[in-house]
Amino acid sequence: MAEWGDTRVSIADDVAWTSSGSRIVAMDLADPGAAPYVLEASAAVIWSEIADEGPIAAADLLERLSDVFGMGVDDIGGDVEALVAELIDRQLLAA
Amino acid sequence: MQQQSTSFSLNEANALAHALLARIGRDNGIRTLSIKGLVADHHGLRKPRVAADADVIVEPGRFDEFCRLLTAHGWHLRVEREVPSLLGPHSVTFIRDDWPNDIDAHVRFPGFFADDGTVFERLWQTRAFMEAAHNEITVPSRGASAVIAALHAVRYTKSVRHAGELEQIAHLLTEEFTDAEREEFVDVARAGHAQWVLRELFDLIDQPYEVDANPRQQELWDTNRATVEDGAAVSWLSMLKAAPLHRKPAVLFRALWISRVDIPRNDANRMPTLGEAWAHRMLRWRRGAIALWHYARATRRRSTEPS
Repeated sequence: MAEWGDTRVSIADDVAWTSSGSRIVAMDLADPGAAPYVLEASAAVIWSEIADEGPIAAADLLERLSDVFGMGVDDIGGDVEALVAELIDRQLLAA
Repeated sequence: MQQQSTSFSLNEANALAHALLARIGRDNGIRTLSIKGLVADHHGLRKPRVAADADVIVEPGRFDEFCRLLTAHGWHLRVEREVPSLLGPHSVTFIRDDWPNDIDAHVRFPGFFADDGTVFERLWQTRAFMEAAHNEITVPSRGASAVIAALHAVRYTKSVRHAGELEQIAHLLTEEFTDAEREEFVDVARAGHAQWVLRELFDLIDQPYEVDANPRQQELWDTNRATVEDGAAVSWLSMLKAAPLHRKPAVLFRALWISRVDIPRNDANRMPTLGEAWAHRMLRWRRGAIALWHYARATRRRSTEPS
């Protein structure tokens, strides 16, 4: 976890994304076969924090999200890490 | 904790599509200009509304290449046979099965009677930039976009919405545009040979106009305006008239009959049922009859107008 906490994440350069209310739709423009990926509710909040603050260290991101959600870092850490990992895998976030 | 879904709205899809179109153009050195839709909204040329498609005009010499690149990105043509058009083909519509919107790739825009290259170069000279889906896209200036919006609005004579949009452009031209924007509007229309089509707007802003469409182009434009909302019946009639005698039966058959395999649809792998096919044919025949009635009325009116 400590190693992941040092990872700095940001929106990838090749990404197009829209934001409306509590929805984000993001797409990797560099991948001809990519389909738009929809994030809603808390996932959209996580994206928005990264968009506003990135590049941001994962540990700092967790601290901020802990304040936003009113939950402990340990309570949200696993879910946030899983989402960030998936978005990096989809080339939507850069690390 | 988080939720993901796969469906997205037309607004979201259009913004992403414009970003994608700009990116494909930029990556391949093909000049593109996003037009209509969110560009018209950005320039305040109409009340914002959701568009069903994302429109782009492409430098004519690279148009086929751009279409191939779109295909490589998963966009494909809808299943439909080619139908004649009074003003000729001006764009190709692409769909992608997992997207809710279309992409209309234009090689020209109806109402400009100058050659495609001249029109594109003049539009390109006006280029400006705006953001779509957090990406920069290239668009015509406000004045040039107003020409495109006006050409689109004047094409649809029976639509209340388009009449309102034409009124909005007239208001902007007379009340809100800067002198430079108004001059650019006039100059783009002149370079594109669209003065005659937009003559009422020229009159409104006290600008002299030349009749820059020849009599045949004027006739086609007027006929198209009178029947554009009724489908392709008048185009078929025009094709039938122009066909040599021995070809007329074949053209007539093609105009009247559409086979099941040619019924327009998004999914090439799903053949329409017999019932769907007949429903489509009945709709075509009904629209065709209405179009021919409108055409006859417009022709009679033109023949009785003082020259």
